[in-house]
Amino acid sequence: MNLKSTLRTAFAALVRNRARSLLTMLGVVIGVAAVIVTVAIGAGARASVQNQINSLGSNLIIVLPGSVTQSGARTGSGGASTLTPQDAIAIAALPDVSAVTPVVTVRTQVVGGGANWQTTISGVAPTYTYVRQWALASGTFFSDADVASAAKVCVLGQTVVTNLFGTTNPIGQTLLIKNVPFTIVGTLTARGQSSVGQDQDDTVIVPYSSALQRLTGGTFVSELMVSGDDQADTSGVQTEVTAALEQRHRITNGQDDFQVRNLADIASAASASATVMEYLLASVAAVSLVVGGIGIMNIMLVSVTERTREIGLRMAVGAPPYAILSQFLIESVGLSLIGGAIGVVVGFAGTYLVSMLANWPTVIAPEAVVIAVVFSALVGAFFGYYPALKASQLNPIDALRFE
Amino acid sequence: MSVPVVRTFGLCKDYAMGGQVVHAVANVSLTIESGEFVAVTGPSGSGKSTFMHIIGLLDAATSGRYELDGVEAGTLSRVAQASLRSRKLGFVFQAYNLLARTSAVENVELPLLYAGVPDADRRRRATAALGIVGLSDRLFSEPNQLSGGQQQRVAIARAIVNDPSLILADEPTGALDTKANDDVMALFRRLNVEKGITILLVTHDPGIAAHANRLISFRDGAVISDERSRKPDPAAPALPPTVSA
Repeated sequence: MNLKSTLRTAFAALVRNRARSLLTMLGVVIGVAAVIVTVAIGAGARASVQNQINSLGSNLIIVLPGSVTQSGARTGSGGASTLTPQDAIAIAALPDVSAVTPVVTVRTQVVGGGANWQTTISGVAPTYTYVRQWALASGTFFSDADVASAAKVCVLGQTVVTNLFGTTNPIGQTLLIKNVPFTIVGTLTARGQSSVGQDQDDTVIVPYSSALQRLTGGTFVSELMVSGDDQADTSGVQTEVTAALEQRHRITNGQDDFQVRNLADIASAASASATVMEYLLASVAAVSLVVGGIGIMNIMLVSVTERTREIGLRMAVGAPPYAILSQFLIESVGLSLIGGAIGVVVGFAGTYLVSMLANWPTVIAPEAVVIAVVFSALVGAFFGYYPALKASQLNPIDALRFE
Repeated sequence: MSVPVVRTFGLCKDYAMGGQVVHAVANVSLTIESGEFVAVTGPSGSGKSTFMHIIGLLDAATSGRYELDGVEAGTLSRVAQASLRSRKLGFVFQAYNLLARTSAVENVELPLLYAGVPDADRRRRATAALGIVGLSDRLFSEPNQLSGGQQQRVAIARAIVNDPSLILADEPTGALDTKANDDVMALFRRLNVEKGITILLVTHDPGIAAHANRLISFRDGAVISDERSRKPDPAAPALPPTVSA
């Protein structure tokens, strides 16, 4: 008995019992589809976390002022005023740094378009759009000349635009920040929430010089945002920045009055937690695949019992034990492979539906599809083997006489 | 004289039943020559069916030897026995045992499938076998579309399709009405006379047994009589009486 006839015999048996074959397959269909959909959701979630992290800026390093001790009381991180725009200019000259912007943060009430709104004012350099990878929605960003002259110009985030101006065009209008009139020159594209839930669009951007001279009246900035070269190793850049600042601040004892934070670490932590979620989802789905396999074993056992006389007859007309074994094994592997194939189709459809209806990001992972299908075939072989072996070991006369 | 189809030497089959050993077949030694039409009779429980199952390699003897076509068969492996069944034996059962939802011709092809006969050959030989049993017009009918007599003829076609040395028929007419009964027995006779096929038929019905040339009676697992009919078939060679246990 060759492979072709065995295949034909097995599939003829599956077709003869159409309804039962379909019901048996259902378990594997659901299992495979579940694996594909959940992995797609998990991968989509991870991709969107990755996206948000990228949205913070490319190879971003943040320099914060350190803590200082005043009369025995220690301020927390960022409590000291140690960083200046000149530090930013010095860092920008480092070989592995592609851009730097100081950031001066003030939270205050602003008035414009006949309404008022409390928001965060960020005084930055024109390099800010590059460092944050943030594009303009309309108008222009201010220039180095505006920084040099401490010009009264500003760029608005979308939340501020909506709350003050609604649908009217804010470009060219005036915004009062601490009663200082600023001309609105541009608006930023909407960015949504940051990974910690902050509304990134609730902001007004002004030149840092304007912020220092007209809003805070100081010379120190809140933080420096440093963008490393794409090719440079972020921790290498971190070391360079630290060394440069230590030299500028004349620190030799290692007690830095600043901190350098690397967002890559935060990014990998967030990405790792998304991966854990992905595995969790996939393992739940894998359980349903195993349950589907047990369903196949049940049906194959029933099928062996129900067809004991058929097995006896096949043996009587000359079927050797391995022909019986391979017939039943092919039946169960065939069932689970066909079920797996249908499951892939259902999984793709389900993934599409989830993205459409729930508006979740999904990414179909080709390896998940391959693993699900291979696993379903293994499920068929594993759970089909016992009933098939049982069938092939029957004594012909016992099988024939089975009632 | 060619090698006998069947030769048994002190064949025994014991069952343990409720702590007691039952001798289903007890020390049976007999010979069946090529071309014989043998009826095995006896009351139920006499061991006639068990004897047939051992001859058919469907069951194993507890002790004794069994030669099929001169080859020691009783002690072969399961795979070798399957191969012998495939090449040398044909079975006809009381319940026909056809595959449901499978056409007559595909049912008949089944033994050839396991014998590794190529596709085209298989269809040709199965069609020819169905022609011999007079069912050329029902090749593609499924069992539930056939009468009992027709189903049994499909089963007989299946038994002869691989040109066996021996056909084993277990109560082949047990489920049939008188008319179908006569048809099936006439078919067996014709196969025996015209094709020279050796037939071993198990029945409890003396009327059916009368169609055979040789009558072996079983009781309590042993052969109690073994006689040639008064009208031996003219085509069959005259044979000396064989040993009986």
